[in-house]
Amino acid sequence: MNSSKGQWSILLVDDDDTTNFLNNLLIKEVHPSIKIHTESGAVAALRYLNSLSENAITKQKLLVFFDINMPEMDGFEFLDAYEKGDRPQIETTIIMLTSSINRRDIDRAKEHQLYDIIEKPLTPEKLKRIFSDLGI
Amino acid sequence: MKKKEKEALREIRTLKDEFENYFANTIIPQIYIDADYVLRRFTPPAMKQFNLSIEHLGKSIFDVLDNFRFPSFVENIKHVIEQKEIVEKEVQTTDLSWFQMNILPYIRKQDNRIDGVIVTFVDISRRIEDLKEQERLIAENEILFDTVVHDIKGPLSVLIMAASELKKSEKLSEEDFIKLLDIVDSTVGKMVEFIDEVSENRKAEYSNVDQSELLNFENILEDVLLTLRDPIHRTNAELRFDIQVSQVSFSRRKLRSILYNLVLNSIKYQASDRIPEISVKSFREGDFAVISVEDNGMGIEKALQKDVFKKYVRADESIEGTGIGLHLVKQIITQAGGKVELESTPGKGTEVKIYISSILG
Repeated sequence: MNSSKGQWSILLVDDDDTTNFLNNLLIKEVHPSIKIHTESGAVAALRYLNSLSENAITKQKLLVFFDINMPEMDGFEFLDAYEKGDRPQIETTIIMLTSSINRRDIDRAKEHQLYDIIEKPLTPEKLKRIFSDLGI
Repeated sequence: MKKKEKEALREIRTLKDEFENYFANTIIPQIYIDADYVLRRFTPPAMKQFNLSIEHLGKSIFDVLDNFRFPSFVENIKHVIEQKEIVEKEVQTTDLSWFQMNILPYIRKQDNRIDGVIVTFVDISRRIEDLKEQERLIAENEILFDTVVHDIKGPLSVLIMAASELKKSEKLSEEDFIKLLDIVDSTVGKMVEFIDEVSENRKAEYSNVDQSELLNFENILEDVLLTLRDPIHRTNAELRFDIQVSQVSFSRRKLRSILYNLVLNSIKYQASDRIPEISVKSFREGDFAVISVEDNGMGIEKALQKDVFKKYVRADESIEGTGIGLHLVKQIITQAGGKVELESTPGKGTEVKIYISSILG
Protein backbone atom coordinates (compact mmCIF):
# COMPACT_ATOMS: atom_id res chain seq x y z
CA MET A 1 0.00 0.00 0.00
CA ASN A 2 2.55 2.53 1.13
CA SER A 3 4.77 2.03 -1.85
CA SER A 4 1.98 2.99 -4.29
CA LYS A 5 0.96 6.10 -2.38
CA GLY A 6 3.52 8.42 -3.82
CA GLN A 7 2.58 7.59 -7.41
CA TRP A 8 -0.85 9.18 -7.32
CA SER A 9 -1.59 12.78 -8.02
CA ILE A 10 -4.84 14.63 -8.58
CA LEU A 11 -6.18 16.88 -11.33
CA LEU A 12 -9.17 19.09 -10.46
CA VAL A 13 -11.13 20.60 -13.34
CA ASP A 14 -13.97 23.01 -12.67
CA ASP A 15 -14.78 26.39 -14.22
CA ASP A 16 -15.86 27.65 -10.82
CA ASP A 17 -12.87 28.89 -8.84
CA THR A 18 -14.78 28.59 -5.59
CA THR A 19 -15.42 24.89 -6.12
CA ASN A 20 -11.76 24.35 -7.01
CA PHE A 21 -10.67 26.16 -3.87
CA LEU A 22 -13.02 24.14 -1.65
CA ASN A 23 -12.12 20.81 -3.24
CA ASN A 24 -8.45 21.66 -2.80
CA LEU A 25 -8.93 22.36 0.90
CA LEU A 26 -10.90 19.17 1.36
CA ILE A 27 -8.45 16.88 -0.44
CA LYS A 28 -5.51 18.35 1.48
CA GLU A 29 -7.27 17.52 4.73
CA VAL A 30 -8.06 13.94 3.75
CA HIS A 31 -4.69 13.33 2.11
CA PRO A 32 -2.19 16.07 3.06
CA SER A 33 0.71 14.77 0.96
CA ILE A 34 -1.01 14.19 -2.39
CA LYS A 35 -0.09 16.54 -5.25
CA ILE A 36 -3.02 18.52 -6.62
CA HIS A 37 -3.11 20.35 -9.93
CA THR A 38 -6.06 22.61 -10.81
CA GLU A 39 -7.41 23.68 -14.20
CA SER A 40 -10.46 25.86 -14.86
CA GLY A 41 -11.40 24.51 -18.29
CA ALA A 42 -11.45 21.35 -20.39
CA VAL A 43 -9.07 22.70 -23.03
CA ALA A 44 -6.46 23.60 -20.43
CA ALA A 45 -6.97 20.21 -18.80
CA LEU A 46 -6.30 18.43 -22.11
CA ARG A 47 -3.16 20.49 -22.57
CA TYR A 48 -2.01 19.53 -19.09
CA LEU A 49 -2.69 15.84 -19.75
CA ASN A 50 -0.70 15.99 -22.97
CA SER A 51 2.22 17.64 -21.22
CA LEU A 52 2.16 14.83 -18.67
CA SER A 53 2.32 12.21 -21.38
CA GLU A 54 5.30 13.93 -22.96
CA ASN A 55 7.27 14.00 -19.74
CA ALA A 56 5.90 10.67 -18.63
CA ILE A 57 7.28 9.46 -15.37
CA THR A 58 6.77 5.73 -15.28
CA LYS A 59 4.11 4.30 -13.03
CA GLN A 60 2.55 7.68 -12.34
CA LYS A 61 -1.21 7.56 -11.71
CA LEU A 62 -3.60 10.45 -12.05
CA LEU A 63 -7.02 10.82 -10.46
CA VAL A 64 -9.15 13.39 -12.31
CA PHE A 65 -12.19 15.12 -10.81
CA PHE A 66 -14.06 16.73 -13.67
CA ASP A 67 -17.11 19.02 -13.57
CA ILE A 68 -19.67 17.86 -16.18
CA ASN A 69 -21.22 21.28 -16.78
CA MET A 70 -18.69 23.64 -18.21
CA PRO A 71 -18.82 26.29 -20.91
CA GLU A 72 -16.98 25.69 -24.19
CA MET A 73 -16.47 21.97 -23.61
CA ASP A 74 -18.48 19.87 -21.18
CA GLY A 75 -17.30 16.76 -19.36
CA PHE A 76 -18.32 14.30 -22.05
CA GLU A 77 -16.93 16.37 -24.89
CA PHE A 78 -13.71 16.43 -22.92
CA LEU A 79 -13.80 12.62 -22.66
CA ASP A 80 -14.43 12.33 -26.42
CA ALA A 81 -11.41 14.49 -27.14
CA TYR A 82 -9.28 12.76 -24.53
CA GLU A 83 -10.13 9.23 -25.68
CA LYS A 84 -9.47 10.13 -29.31
CA GLY A 85 -6.10 11.74 -28.66
CA ASP A 86 -2.82 10.08 -27.80
CA ARG A 87 -3.28 8.50 -24.44
CA PRO A 88 -0.78 9.68 -21.90
CA GLN A 89 1.63 7.11 -20.65
CA ILE A 90 0.28 7.53 -17.20
CA GLU A 91 -2.76 5.74 -15.85
CA THR A 92 -5.78 8.03 -15.49
CA THR A 93 -8.88 7.45 -13.40
CA ILE A 94 -11.62 9.93 -14.26
CA ILE A 95 -14.49 10.85 -11.96
CA MET A 96 -17.19 13.26 -13.09
CA LEU A 97 -18.75 15.68 -10.65
CA THR A 98 -22.21 17.08 -11.22
CA SER A 99 -24.74 19.03 -9.16
CA SER A 100 -27.51 16.59 -9.99
CA ILE A 101 -27.14 13.21 -11.61
CA ASN A 102 -29.59 12.64 -14.42
CA ARG A 103 -30.48 9.71 -16.63
CA ARG A 104 -28.93 11.26 -19.73
CA ASP A 105 -25.55 11.68 -18.04
CA ILE A 106 -25.57 8.08 -16.84
CA ASP A 107 -26.35 6.87 -20.38
CA ARG A 108 -23.60 9.00 -21.85
CA ALA A 109 -21.18 7.81 -19.20
CA LYS A 110 -21.60 4.21 -20.36
CA GLU A 111 -19.98 5.12 -23.68
CA HIS A 112 -16.84 6.27 -21.93
CA GLN A 113 -14.13 4.94 -19.71
CA LEU A 114 -15.34 6.61 -16.62
CA TYR A 115 -14.65 5.48 -13.10
CA ASP A 116 -17.69 7.11 -11.52
CA ILE A 117 -20.15 10.00 -11.53
CA ILE A 118 -20.47 11.70 -8.18
CA GLU A 119 -23.01 14.23 -7.02
CA LYS A 120 -21.58 17.46 -5.65
CA PRO A 121 -20.50 18.36 -3.05
CA LEU A 122 -17.40 16.29 -2.58
CA THR A 123 -17.29 15.26 1.07
CA PRO A 124 -14.59 13.67 3.27
CA GLU A 125 -16.65 10.42 3.26
CA LYS A 126 -16.90 10.29 -0.53
CA LEU A 127 -13.20 11.09 -0.88
CA LYS A 128 -12.14 8.48 1.66
CA ARG A 129 -14.23 5.84 -0.09
CA ILE A 130 -12.68 6.68 -3.49
CA PHE A 131 -9.16 6.75 -2.04
CA SER A 132 -9.60 3.41 -0.30
CA ASP A 133 -11.19 1.79 -3.41
CA LEU A 134 -8.27 2.95 -5.52
CA GLY A 135 -5.69 2.12 -2.88
CA ILE A 136 -4.50 5.69 -2.57
CA MET B 1 -115.62 8.31 -34.29
CA LYS B 2 -116.22 6.82 -30.94
CA LYS B 3 -115.61 8.93 -27.91
CA LYS B 4 -112.78 6.65 -26.73
CA GLU B 5 -111.01 6.84 -30.07
CA LYS B 6 -111.34 10.63 -30.08
CA GLU B 7 -109.77 10.80 -26.66
CA ALA B 8 -106.97 8.49 -27.71
CA LEU B 9 -106.32 10.60 -30.78
CA ARG B 10 -106.21 13.77 -28.69
CA GLU B 11 -103.77 12.09 -26.38
CA ILE B 12 -101.55 11.08 -29.28
CA ARG B 13 -101.67 14.63 -30.66
CA THR B 14 -100.67 16.00 -27.26
CA LEU B 15 -97.82 13.55 -27.04
CA LYS B 16 -96.69 14.41 -30.56
CA ASP B 17 -96.80 18.11 -29.65
CA GLU B 18 -94.80 17.53 -26.55
CA PHE B 19 -92.33 15.41 -28.43
CA GLU B 20 -91.93 17.97 -31.21
CA ASN B 21 -91.68 20.81 -28.78
CA TYR B 22 -89.04 18.93 -26.95
CA PHE B 23 -87.05 18.26 -30.10
CA ALA B 24 -87.42 21.83 -31.34
CA ASN B 25 -86.37 23.45 -28.10
CA THR B 26 -83.60 21.26 -26.86
CA ILE B 27 -80.26 23.01 -26.84
CA ILE B 28 -78.29 19.81 -27.33
CA PRO B 29 -77.52 18.30 -30.74
CA GLN B 30 -79.64 15.15 -30.97
CA ILE B 31 -80.42 12.90 -33.91
CA TYR B 32 -82.90 10.09 -34.28
CA ILE B 33 -81.91 7.46 -36.82
CA ASP B 34 -84.19 4.51 -37.41
CA ALA B 35 -83.31 0.85 -37.80
CA ASP B 36 -83.07 1.28 -41.60
CA TYR B 37 -80.42 4.01 -41.08
CA VAL B 38 -82.84 6.72 -42.15
CA LEU B 39 -82.59 10.16 -40.56
CA ARG B 40 -85.93 10.66 -38.88
CA ARG B 41 -85.48 13.69 -36.67
CA PHE B 42 -82.85 16.08 -35.44
CA THR B 43 -82.78 19.05 -33.12
CA PRO B 44 -81.95 22.59 -34.32
CA PRO B 45 -78.53 22.50 -32.63
CA ALA B 46 -77.83 19.26 -34.52
CA MET B 47 -78.77 21.02 -37.78
CA LYS B 48 -76.35 23.78 -36.96
CA GLN B 49 -73.52 21.54 -35.81
CA PHE B 50 -73.70 19.07 -38.69
CA ASN B 51 -75.00 21.33 -41.48
CA LEU B 52 -78.30 19.47 -41.76
CA SER B 53 -81.44 20.92 -43.29
CA ILE B 54 -85.08 19.82 -43.53
CA GLU B 55 -84.30 18.17 -46.90
CA HIS B 56 -82.08 15.67 -45.12
CA LEU B 57 -85.10 14.24 -43.27
CA GLY B 58 -85.93 10.80 -44.62
CA LYS B 59 -82.53 10.38 -46.22
CA SER B 60 -80.24 7.46 -45.47
CA ILE B 61 -77.41 8.20 -43.07
CA PHE B 62 -75.03 6.86 -45.74
CA ASP B 63 -75.98 9.80 -47.98
CA VAL B 64 -75.06 12.38 -45.38
CA LEU B 65 -71.97 10.75 -43.94
CA ASP B 66 -69.89 13.71 -45.10
CA ASN B 67 -71.63 15.74 -42.43
CA PHE B 68 -70.38 13.37 -39.74
CA ARG B 69 -66.72 13.06 -40.34
CA PHE B 70 -65.74 11.09 -37.32
CA PRO B 71 -64.49 7.55 -37.69
CA SER B 72 -66.76 4.51 -37.41
CA PHE B 73 -70.00 6.47 -36.89
CA VAL B 74 -72.07 3.92 -38.86
CA GLU B 75 -70.33 0.97 -37.20
CA ASN B 76 -71.16 2.44 -33.80
CA ILE B 77 -74.85 2.83 -34.74
CA LYS B 78 -74.91 -0.71 -36.13
CA HIS B 79 -73.42 -2.00 -32.92
CA VAL B 80 -76.14 -0.35 -30.84
CA ILE B 81 -78.95 -1.67 -33.04
CA GLU B 82 -77.59 -5.21 -33.17
CA GLN B 83 -76.17 -5.61 -29.68
CA LYS B 84 -78.65 -3.39 -27.81
CA GLU B 85 -75.67 -1.83 -26.09
CA ILE B 86 -75.07 1.85 -25.47
CA VAL B 87 -72.02 3.37 -27.17
CA GLU B 88 -70.25 6.30 -25.53
CA LYS B 89 -67.22 7.95 -27.04
CA GLU B 90 -65.45 11.24 -27.44
CA VAL B 91 -65.44 12.61 -30.98
CA GLN B 92 -64.03 15.68 -32.62
CA THR B 93 -66.14 17.38 -35.26
CA THR B 94 -64.88 19.19 -38.36
CA ASP B 95 -64.96 22.55 -36.57
CA LEU B 96 -62.55 21.00 -34.04
CA SER B 97 -65.06 20.98 -31.18
CA TRP B 98 -65.07 18.00 -28.90
CA PHE B 99 -68.27 16.12 -28.09
CA GLN B 100 -69.17 13.23 -25.91
CA MET B 101 -71.31 11.16 -28.29
CA ASN B 102 -73.87 8.85 -26.72
CA ILE B 103 -75.71 6.39 -28.97
CA LEU B 104 -78.70 4.90 -27.20
CA PRO B 105 -81.06 2.28 -28.61
CA TYR B 106 -84.58 3.52 -29.41
CA ILE B 107 -86.77 0.75 -28.05
CA ARG B 108 -90.37 0.28 -29.08
CA LYS B 109 -92.18 -0.48 -25.87
CA GLN B 110 -95.02 -2.49 -27.47
CA ASP B 111 -92.82 -5.27 -28.87
CA ASN B 112 -89.49 -4.45 -27.21
CA ARG B 113 -87.87 -4.13 -30.62
CA ILE B 114 -85.07 -1.74 -31.39
CA ASP B 115 -86.36 0.74 -33.88
CA GLY B 116 -83.27 2.84 -34.25
CA VAL B 117 -80.94 4.97 -32.21
CA ILE B 118 -80.90 8.36 -30.55
CA VAL B 119 -77.53 10.04 -30.87
CA THR B 120 -76.82 12.76 -28.34
CA PHE B 121 -73.83 15.09 -28.42
CA VAL B 122 -72.65 16.84 -25.29
CA ASP B 123 -70.13 19.61 -25.92
CA ILE B 124 -66.98 18.87 -23.93
CA SER B 125 -64.60 21.20 -25.79
CA ARG B 126 -64.09 23.30 -22.70
CA ARG B 127 -63.31 20.26 -20.61
CA ILE B 128 -60.86 18.94 -23.19
CA GLU B 129 -59.22 22.36 -23.46
CA ASP B 130 -58.95 22.54 -19.67
CA LEU B 131 -57.38 19.10 -19.58
CA LYS B 132 -54.87 20.02 -22.25
CA GLU B 133 -54.02 23.22 -20.44
CA GLN B 134 -53.61 21.29 -17.22
CA GLU B 135 -51.26 18.82 -18.86
CA ARG B 136 -49.24 21.64 -20.34
CA LEU B 137 -48.97 23.37 -16.99
CA ILE B 138 -47.93 20.16 -15.26
CA ALA B 139 -45.24 19.52 -17.87
CA GLU B 140 -44.03 23.10 -17.56
CA ASN B 141 -43.95 22.94 -13.81
CA GLU B 142 -41.98 19.72 -13.90
CA ILE B 143 -39.33 21.28 -16.11
CA LEU B 144 -39.24 24.40 -13.98
CA PHE B 145 -38.94 22.28 -10.88
CA ASP B 146 -36.01 20.32 -12.35
CA THR B 147 -34.29 23.55 -13.33
CA VAL B 148 -34.78 25.09 -9.92
CA VAL B 149 -33.51 21.97 -8.19
CA HIS B 150 -30.47 21.87 -10.45
CA ASP B 151 -29.67 25.55 -10.06
CA ILE B 152 -30.16 25.57 -6.32
CA LYS B 153 -28.10 22.45 -5.83
CA GLY B 154 -24.97 24.01 -7.35
CA PRO B 155 -24.63 26.88 -4.88
CA LEU B 156 -26.02 24.67 -2.12
CA SER B 157 -23.19 22.18 -2.49
CA VAL B 158 -20.71 25.04 -2.31
CA LEU B 159 -22.39 26.20 0.91
CA ILE B 160 -22.27 22.70 2.38
CA MET B 161 -18.56 22.42 1.67
CA ALA B 162 -17.76 25.89 2.94
CA ALA B 163 -19.71 25.28 6.14
CA SER B 164 -17.98 21.98 6.83
CA GLU B 165 -14.58 23.64 6.29
CA LEU B 166 -15.51 26.52 8.59
CA LYS B 167 -16.32 24.04 11.35
CA LYS B 168 -12.66 23.12 11.47
CA SER B 169 -11.68 26.76 11.87
CA GLU B 170 -8.72 26.01 14.17
CA LYS B 171 -7.00 24.19 11.31
CA LEU B 172 -7.53 26.99 8.81
CA SER B 173 -5.22 29.84 7.98
CA GLU B 174 -6.71 33.27 8.52
CA GLU B 175 -6.60 33.88 4.79
CA ASP B 176 -8.59 30.73 4.03
CA PHE B 177 -11.01 31.50 6.84
CA ILE B 178 -11.85 34.93 5.41
CA LYS B 179 -12.07 33.50 1.93
CA LEU B 180 -14.56 30.90 3.14
CA LEU B 181 -16.72 33.58 4.75
CA ASP B 182 -16.68 35.52 1.49
CA ILE B 183 -17.73 32.39 -0.37
CA VAL B 184 -20.68 31.86 1.95
CA ASP B 185 -21.66 35.48 1.55
CA SER B 186 -21.54 35.60 -2.23
CA THR B 187 -23.11 32.16 -2.68
CA VAL B 188 -26.09 33.07 -0.53
CA GLY B 189 -26.37 36.25 -2.58
CA LYS B 190 -26.42 34.26 -5.82
CA MET B 191 -29.13 31.98 -4.49
CA VAL B 192 -31.26 34.96 -3.51
CA GLU B 193 -30.80 36.44 -6.99
CA PHE B 194 -31.86 33.19 -8.58
CA ILE B 195 -34.97 32.88 -6.43
CA ASP B 196 -35.82 36.51 -7.23
CA GLU B 197 -35.49 35.78 -10.92
CA VAL B 198 -37.77 32.77 -10.76
CA SER B 199 -40.43 34.56 -8.76
CA GLU B 200 -40.20 37.73 -10.86
CA ASN B 201 -40.84 35.72 -14.01
CA ARG B 202 -43.64 33.70 -12.47
CA LYS B 203 -45.42 36.88 -11.50
CA ALA B 204 -45.20 38.32 -15.00
CA GLU B 205 -46.10 35.06 -16.68
CA TYR B 206 -49.19 34.25 -14.70
CA SER B 207 -50.35 37.74 -13.92
CA ASN B 208 -53.82 38.63 -15.12
CA VAL B 209 -53.30 42.23 -14.22
CA ASP B 210 -51.78 43.46 -17.42
CA GLN B 211 -53.64 46.61 -18.26
CA SER B 212 -51.68 49.11 -20.23
CA GLU B 213 -50.94 52.38 -18.62
CA LEU B 214 -48.85 55.35 -19.49
CA LEU B 215 -45.44 54.64 -18.04
CA ASN B 216 -42.34 56.65 -17.52
CA PHE B 217 -39.63 54.49 -18.99
CA GLU B 218 -36.87 55.96 -16.85
CA ASN B 219 -38.80 55.20 -13.66
CA ILE B 220 -39.29 51.58 -14.60
CA LEU B 221 -35.65 51.26 -15.59
CA GLU B 222 -34.52 52.74 -12.27
CA ASP B 223 -36.75 50.31 -10.47
CA VAL B 224 -35.33 47.33 -12.36
CA LEU B 225 -31.74 48.41 -11.80
CA LEU B 226 -32.44 48.68 -8.10
CA THR B 227 -33.68 45.08 -8.08
CA LEU B 228 -30.55 44.03 -9.96
CA ARG B 229 -28.11 46.03 -7.85
CA ASP B 230 -26.42 42.93 -6.39
CA PRO B 231 -25.48 41.25 -9.68
CA ILE B 232 -24.50 44.66 -11.10
CA HIS B 233 -22.30 45.34 -8.10
CA ARG B 234 -20.81 41.84 -8.09
CA THR B 235 -19.75 42.02 -11.74
CA ASN B 236 -18.84 45.75 -11.71
CA ALA B 237 -21.10 46.08 -14.74
CA GLU B 238 -21.03 49.46 -16.45
CA LEU B 239 -24.36 50.79 -17.65
CA ARG B 240 -24.99 53.51 -20.19
CA PHE B 241 -28.31 55.06 -21.07
CA ASP B 242 -29.69 56.92 -24.05
CA ILE B 243 -33.38 57.54 -23.48
CA GLN B 244 -35.07 59.33 -26.36
CA VAL B 245 -38.57 58.00 -25.77
CA SER B 246 -39.58 58.25 -22.15
CA GLN B 247 -43.33 57.67 -22.27
CA VAL B 248 -44.50 54.18 -23.12
CA SER B 249 -48.00 52.78 -22.92
CA PHE B 250 -47.65 49.24 -21.60
CA SER B 251 -48.36 47.00 -18.65
CA ARG B 252 -46.12 48.08 -15.78
CA ARG B 253 -45.35 44.59 -14.58
CA LYS B 254 -44.59 43.33 -18.06
CA LEU B 255 -42.31 46.17 -19.07
CA ARG B 256 -40.50 45.63 -15.78
CA SER B 257 -40.14 41.95 -16.50
CA ILE B 258 -38.78 42.63 -20.00
CA LEU B 259 -36.13 45.05 -18.80
CA TYR B 260 -35.27 42.82 -15.86
CA ASN B 261 -34.68 39.81 -18.09
CA LEU B 262 -32.70 41.67 -20.74
CA VAL B 263 -30.36 43.40 -18.31
CA LEU B 264 -29.94 40.25 -16.20
CA ASN B 265 -29.06 38.24 -19.34
CA SER B 266 -26.41 40.80 -20.27
CA ILE B 267 -24.86 40.30 -16.83
CA LYS B 268 -25.22 36.53 -16.68
CA TYR B 269 -23.83 35.91 -20.13
CA GLN B 270 -20.87 38.23 -19.73
CA ALA B 271 -17.61 37.45 -21.47
CA SER B 272 -15.15 35.89 -19.04
CA ASP B 273 -12.30 38.26 -19.91
CA ARG B 274 -14.00 41.65 -19.47
CA ILE B 275 -16.46 43.44 -17.25
CA PRO B 276 -19.99 43.76 -18.64
CA GLU B 277 -20.79 46.97 -20.51
CA ILE B 278 -24.49 47.35 -21.02
CA SER B 279 -26.16 50.04 -23.02
CA VAL B 280 -29.90 50.67 -22.66
CA LYS B 281 -31.58 52.84 -25.28
CA SER B 282 -35.08 53.88 -26.18
CA PHE B 283 -35.91 55.58 -29.45
CA ARG B 284 -38.60 55.89 -32.04
CA GLU B 285 -38.61 53.93 -35.28
CA GLY B 286 -41.67 54.47 -37.48
CA ASP B 287 -44.77 53.63 -35.45
CA PHE B 288 -42.77 51.79 -32.83
CA ALA B 289 -41.10 52.69 -29.61
CA VAL B 290 -37.91 50.66 -29.58
CA ILE B 291 -36.12 49.55 -26.44
CA SER B 292 -32.63 48.23 -27.02
CA VAL B 293 -30.36 46.45 -24.56
CA GLU B 294 -26.87 45.87 -25.92
CA ASP B 295 -23.93 44.20 -24.22
CA ASN B 296 -20.31 43.15 -24.77
CA GLY B 297 -20.98 39.64 -23.47
CA MET B 298 -20.13 36.19 -24.73
CA GLY B 299 -22.66 36.40 -27.59
CA ILE B 300 -24.82 33.63 -28.98
CA GLU B 301 -23.85 31.26 -31.76
CA LYS B 302 -25.83 31.66 -34.98
CA ALA B 303 -27.29 28.17 -34.68
CA LEU B 304 -28.67 28.90 -31.22
CA GLN B 305 -30.06 32.36 -31.90
CA LYS B 306 -33.54 31.19 -32.86
CA ASP B 307 -33.75 28.70 -30.02
CA VAL B 308 -33.07 31.18 -27.23
CA PHE B 309 -36.66 32.39 -27.47
CA LYS B 310 -37.97 28.89 -26.82
CA LYS B 311 -38.98 28.01 -23.35
CA TYR B 312 -36.37 26.37 -21.11
CA VAL B 313 -33.61 26.76 -23.69
CA ARG B 314 -30.45 28.21 -22.26
CA ALA B 315 -27.63 29.58 -24.37
CA ASP B 316 -25.15 28.12 -21.95
CA GLU B 317 -26.11 25.22 -19.72
CA SER B 318 -23.33 25.94 -17.28
CA ILE B 319 -24.84 29.30 -16.30
CA GLU B 320 -27.63 29.35 -13.77
CA GLY B 321 -31.00 30.31 -15.13
CA THR B 322 -34.43 29.03 -15.82
CA GLY B 323 -34.41 29.39 -19.59
CA ILE B 324 -37.61 31.34 -19.28
CA GLY B 325 -36.35 34.92 -19.59
CA LEU B 326 -36.19 35.48 -23.34
CA HIS B 327 -39.15 33.22 -23.98
CA LEU B 328 -41.23 35.35 -21.65
CA VAL B 329 -40.02 38.57 -23.26
CA LYS B 330 -40.98 37.31 -26.69
CA GLN B 331 -44.35 36.07 -25.49
CA ILE B 332 -45.22 39.38 -23.83
CA ILE B 333 -44.19 41.47 -26.81
CA THR B 334 -45.85 39.25 -29.41
CA GLN B 335 -49.10 39.33 -27.46
CA ALA B 336 -48.93 43.09 -27.38
CA GLY B 337 -48.53 43.25 -31.15
CA GLY B 338 -44.84 44.11 -31.13
CA LYS B 339 -41.73 42.22 -32.14
CA VAL B 340 -38.35 41.19 -30.77
CA GLU B 341 -35.11 41.27 -32.71
CA LEU B 342 -31.81 39.76 -31.68
CA GLU B 343 -28.41 40.43 -33.11
CA SER B 344 -25.41 38.66 -31.71
CA THR B 345 -21.80 37.91 -32.51
CA PRO B 346 -20.11 35.17 -30.47
CA GLY B 347 -17.27 36.64 -28.48
CA LYS B 348 -18.40 40.24 -29.08
CA GLY B 349 -21.86 40.71 -27.64
CA THR B 350 -25.60 40.74 -28.10
CA GLU B 351 -28.25 43.35 -28.81
CA VAL B 352 -31.94 42.68 -28.18
CA LYS B 353 -34.43 45.17 -29.57
CA ILE B 354 -38.02 45.34 -28.40
CA TYR B 355 -40.57 47.00 -30.66
CA ILE B 356 -43.64 48.31 -28.86
CA SER B 357 -46.38 49.48 -31.19
CA SER B 358 -48.27 51.96 -29.05
CA ILE B 359 -46.34 55.06 -28.12
CA LEU B 360 -47.31 58.34 -26.71
CA GLY B 361 -45.04 61.34 -26.39
